[in-house]
Amino acid sequence: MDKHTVAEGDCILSIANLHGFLWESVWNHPANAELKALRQDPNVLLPGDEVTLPEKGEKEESRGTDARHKFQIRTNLAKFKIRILLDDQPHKDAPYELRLASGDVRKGNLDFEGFLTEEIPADVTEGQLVVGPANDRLTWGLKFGGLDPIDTPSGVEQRLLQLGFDSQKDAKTRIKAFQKKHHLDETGEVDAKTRLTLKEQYGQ
Amino acid sequence: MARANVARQVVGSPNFNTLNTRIAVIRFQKAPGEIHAARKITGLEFRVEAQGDVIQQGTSADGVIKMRVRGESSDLLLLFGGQVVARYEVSIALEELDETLLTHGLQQHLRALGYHIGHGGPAKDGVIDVPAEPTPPTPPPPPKPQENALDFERSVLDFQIDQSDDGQAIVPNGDPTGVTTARISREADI
Repeated sequence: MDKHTVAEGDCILSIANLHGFLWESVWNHPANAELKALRQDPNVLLPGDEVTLPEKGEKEESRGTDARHKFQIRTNLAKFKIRILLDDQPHKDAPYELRLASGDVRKGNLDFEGFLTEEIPADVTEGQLVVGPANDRLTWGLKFGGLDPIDTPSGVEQRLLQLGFDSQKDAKTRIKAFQKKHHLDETGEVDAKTRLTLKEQYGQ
Repeated sequence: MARANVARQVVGSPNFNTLNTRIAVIRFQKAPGEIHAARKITGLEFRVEAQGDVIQQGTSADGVIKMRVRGESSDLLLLFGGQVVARYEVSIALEELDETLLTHGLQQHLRALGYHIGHGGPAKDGVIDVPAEPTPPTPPPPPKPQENALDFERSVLDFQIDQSDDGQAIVPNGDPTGVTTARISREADI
């Protein structure tokens, strides 16, 4: 069976899409059981992870020749859900513009909890998000598939920075500030409780 | 441009990403002292830059800017006719200004309120009575209380006059109610 080595920006959705599979066929393949147990989330993999690709098979559908038939291929749909906060408060109802590298532009308003939810192509890797009215806009560049697993130092760092713990000078101080805010033991080390709280606060 | 690493989700997943931006509320006014309609700066055009990118721009109706701060610091640029007329580097510290019961805390608050307290002290910002670090690698030079005593005294006097207090230029350390220090603290707590 072929293997796919995860590169930056990859996730099971994009890998499955690239090789012509449904994401469930790849993620639930017995050869990927170990990876599944390790990462738990199909869309947060680490560059260097190895994903086994199932064997491709042919599928036959029998239909009569005396009629017109319609066949629909199932494809991978990806969702992008993000919460925008200003000083820990939802940026509720703010207008947004999600510009995808593919050229698609999605417009709307954040909901009352500051959430944006859009369907995006599984293989889009970059985009730009603009939130707020014309006279008070916030802009981010987005790297889809760039979030590392929470059990890696880089994954912890990414989540802390994006949660607003970005004014501290180093990783340990950031972790301590996060622990202080959430009434955890201020050790500066990522223990199980800190990791769980970080996961809850970030959303994954 | 600030780059956020985010995850895609499969349809039906309860997971999500989060982007949180810190805010510093900064008030610009025409003169130090209380918030007063006559001191407001209307139509204050501004721009915020972080790591070389514009992350926010707008116009404040009353001189109050809720500035977004990303990373260790962001730059707040005030504009007039589209031209940059002032630039401030703003960072958010975990610690707040020190208490006004301490001399250097009082000096920090007066300075934040816009009173002129001279240029003494290690940071040349008029805050002279800075406590030593717990374990300094090299001991800092001893503070010089007389260094900007006149400026400090004058700023306290100005503040008291603004507050319609008795203009004695004396900080009532022995005053059990701590009226003056409490007021300075409240005013600076924007």
